[in-house]
Amino acid sequence: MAWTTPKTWTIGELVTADDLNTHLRDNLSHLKVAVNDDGKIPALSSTYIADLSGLNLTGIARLAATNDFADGVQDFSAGAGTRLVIPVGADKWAT
Amino acid sequence: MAWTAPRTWVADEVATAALMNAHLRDNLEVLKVTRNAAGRIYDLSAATLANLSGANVTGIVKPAGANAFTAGRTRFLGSARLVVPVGADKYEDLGGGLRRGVWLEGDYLHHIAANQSTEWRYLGAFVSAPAGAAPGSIWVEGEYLHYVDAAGDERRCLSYGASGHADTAAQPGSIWVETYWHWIQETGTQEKPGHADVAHSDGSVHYDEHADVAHSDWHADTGHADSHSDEHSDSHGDAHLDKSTGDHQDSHTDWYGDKHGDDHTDTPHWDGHSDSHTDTHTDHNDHGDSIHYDAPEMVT
Repeated sequence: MAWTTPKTWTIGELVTADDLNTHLRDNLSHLKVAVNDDGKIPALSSTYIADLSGLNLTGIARLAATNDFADGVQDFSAGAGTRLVIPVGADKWAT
Repeated sequence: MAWTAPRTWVADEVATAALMNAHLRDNLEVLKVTRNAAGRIYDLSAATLANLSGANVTGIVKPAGANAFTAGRTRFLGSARLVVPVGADKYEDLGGGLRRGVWLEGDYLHHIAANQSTEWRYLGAFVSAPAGAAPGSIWVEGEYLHYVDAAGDERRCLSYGASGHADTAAQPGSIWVETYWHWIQETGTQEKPGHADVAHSDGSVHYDEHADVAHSDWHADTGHADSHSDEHSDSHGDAHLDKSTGDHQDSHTDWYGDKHGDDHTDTPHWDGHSDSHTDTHTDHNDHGDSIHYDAPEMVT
């Protein structure tokens, strides 16, 4: 359902059913697309977010095409810029 | 424009323009800020999300400060650790006979060479058996590449020499595969090669120290000695009386006394013998032999 720029109401104006349907009902329905009944965005998916790129997010790994995590494989071998730096120092085993 | 808490309308209320503009127009405009023409949120940016932290997002990599992913470079510093796959043939099959990957298999550290075909494996020298170490852990320690094998033992792969270059921008712990492993040692920028064919050669100086404390014997014999003495005395007396008258009567008496005594004393034979001998032997291994080194081995 398309968005309609909300009407600027004027003094003495008769509020018609068409106005209410267009500027209230339809626009509210438009806004409801990306939220659930609690007003929350249900998921980070293309159903609700047109662009799922995480390039602007902070605090997460930002993967490039040259070091993608795909199908459980962390690939550091594609592209001249990819590197893997492993722990250095004494007894750097994991527990 | 700011959001206004929506008004609760009452019966017969006059919906003034000001009310309609504040509670309908302006609030709708607020709600429209993040949506595109199709009603979807534009993107994940500061224009659409007030807080861009991904802390609550699941199913993504959440690095800590110690293993930041920056500009395509993954670093495992501080408390960060790296664990490679453990098990048989844990490479990625690219199809067409091409493979790639690094993994732990038994005691060996395996990798596929840069040709995406040849599999190599290193058998690191045993270092220790640390409790609780996760198999597959891998790190650079000093000049060596350490790993924890499938049994939990820490091993290390030697590097030989410094045939790799020292890149002034190289990060310690950087590691990559050409045909063999290469890495940047723990401190500094020196590249360490994980392979070198080095023939064994004997150095010219080889010596062992050997010191003997001379053998000394102490020997004392007490000789055997016999002491023997005989005492013997004989006494013999005859008394003979002849009577010539009448009937003849002879009286003869012999007596004999013999006394014999032996006194014999033996002094036992005694040997005293003491040997003392001390050898001190020190082998020097500072003989300047270059080791034979040709790890890793190709896996066929």
